[in-house]
Amino acid sequence: MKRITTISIFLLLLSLASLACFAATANSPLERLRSGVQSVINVLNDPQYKGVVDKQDEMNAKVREAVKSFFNFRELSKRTIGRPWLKFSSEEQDRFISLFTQLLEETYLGRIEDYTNEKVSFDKETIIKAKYAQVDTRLLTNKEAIPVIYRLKLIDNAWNVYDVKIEGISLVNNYRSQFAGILDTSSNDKFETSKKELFTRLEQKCHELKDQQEKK
Amino acid sequence: MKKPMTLKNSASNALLAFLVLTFILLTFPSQVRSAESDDPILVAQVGSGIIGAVEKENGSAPTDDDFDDDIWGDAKTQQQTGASDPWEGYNRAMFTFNDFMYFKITKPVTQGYMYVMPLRPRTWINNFFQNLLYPVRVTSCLLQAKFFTAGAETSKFVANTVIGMGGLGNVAGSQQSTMPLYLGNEDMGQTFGVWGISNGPYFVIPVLGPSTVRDAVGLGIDTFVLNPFWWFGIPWYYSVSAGAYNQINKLSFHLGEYESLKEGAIDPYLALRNAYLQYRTKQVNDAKRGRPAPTSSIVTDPNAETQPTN
Repeated sequence: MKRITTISIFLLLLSLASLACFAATANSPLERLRSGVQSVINVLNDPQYKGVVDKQDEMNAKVREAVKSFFNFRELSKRTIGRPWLKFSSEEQDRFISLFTQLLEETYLGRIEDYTNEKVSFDKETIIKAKYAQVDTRLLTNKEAIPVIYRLKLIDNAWNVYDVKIEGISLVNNYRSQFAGILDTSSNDKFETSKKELFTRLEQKCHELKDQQEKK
Repeated sequence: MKKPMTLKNSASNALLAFLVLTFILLTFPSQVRSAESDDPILVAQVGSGIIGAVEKENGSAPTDDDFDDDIWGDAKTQQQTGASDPWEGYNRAMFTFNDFMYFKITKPVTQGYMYVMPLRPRTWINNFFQNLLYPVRVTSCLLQAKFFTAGAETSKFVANTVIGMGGLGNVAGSQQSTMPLYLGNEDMGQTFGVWGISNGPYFVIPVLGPSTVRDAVGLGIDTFVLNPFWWFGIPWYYSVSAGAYNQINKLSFHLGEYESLKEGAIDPYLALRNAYLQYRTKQVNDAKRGRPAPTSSIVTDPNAETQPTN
């Protein structure tokens, strides 16, 4: 009986401690990002998948899931379109988000095999206006340290990534310049046609990337 | 008797040309970027494009705007990456040509070279050229008043030349070395940027790739005035082949970067233009002095299980 009480007290303390941990992660963008990145790395290093050809699809799905847990693709998509986003209907917004997410996934999942035990160093965290945060990190390769900056936004009490800057090149800004080259906002008619073109080109690109993946 | 004369002449000619250019550029009405001025700044007019025309932001954004990109004080950066591209027709054509050249000639040549030449000698060669091009970098450091970096460059140059077998080795500045040095890879294009000269129209240089009018002028100075290949009366074909060899050797370390940029792009031309402009903006705005920060204690552990975050 005494043993059971000890165990239950122990368990209670343990859960309290983990609760405190959880609260801390919710508060700090840096910790949130670190656990997110760590979870991706854990999947990549999982001996269950590493180097096993048959399980690559399963691994990709797991990575996708891990990334989705700390990236906010809605915010990311919204920012790549910029102000014309407000003129998208909600179905169009959803369609864009799913296509653009797919594009990013297909592009970056193809590069997973390039990962060779690099470490990530989390250097600095800056919070602005209470809901925007920037975390400076460096990807430490054998030869050099590549600066990678994450930008996060606090939405529904969770810090989620909405932009990544590598060597000064912002992902959102880069795609925005491309989408802005396609979207023509000068008149409503032109906007509608250019929006259609944007969707066809996105679909085409996703298709291309998928074919490429399958060829591998 | 004749040889020392030409040697001296060409060196002093190069120096003179450089001083004159510096003088011209310094006396330019180069407007320092200032937040107060709203008027378009006219620095110089080249062809149809206006260099340095800073477009006025139209309308003030509401304070709590989801699309406001200035929360990080990025307005300056945004302006610099906003491309002026009056020669888009030519640029797109040249982009297609360069793309073709890259995949049909440069890349296969580099791959063949990589097959023949192992990683180590390639690193030595890279170090050697990097060391040789020291005058290019140190001049720009000095002209930008980056004295700390200039000192770091100089000590690295001396150390590598003396101890590192004329620059083949890299005894300073590698991650393992005891004294990591901050090196910004400065060039004249960046120097002009620091002086407040804007990019000017985007311009794709044949074979060499993306650039702007400002950076192309800087590259010209770097290549023909500050590059030791062009001193001492070395015949031009030697200089050109050495430069081309350096480019191939350098590319062997960066193969695949262009491909991955292109792979994810909806419009590769715009993607490359934007990436180039953003990268250059970052280089121009990098810190005046500083050392690389030591690795933070907070690091992901590639081999561990998920760690408790306390």
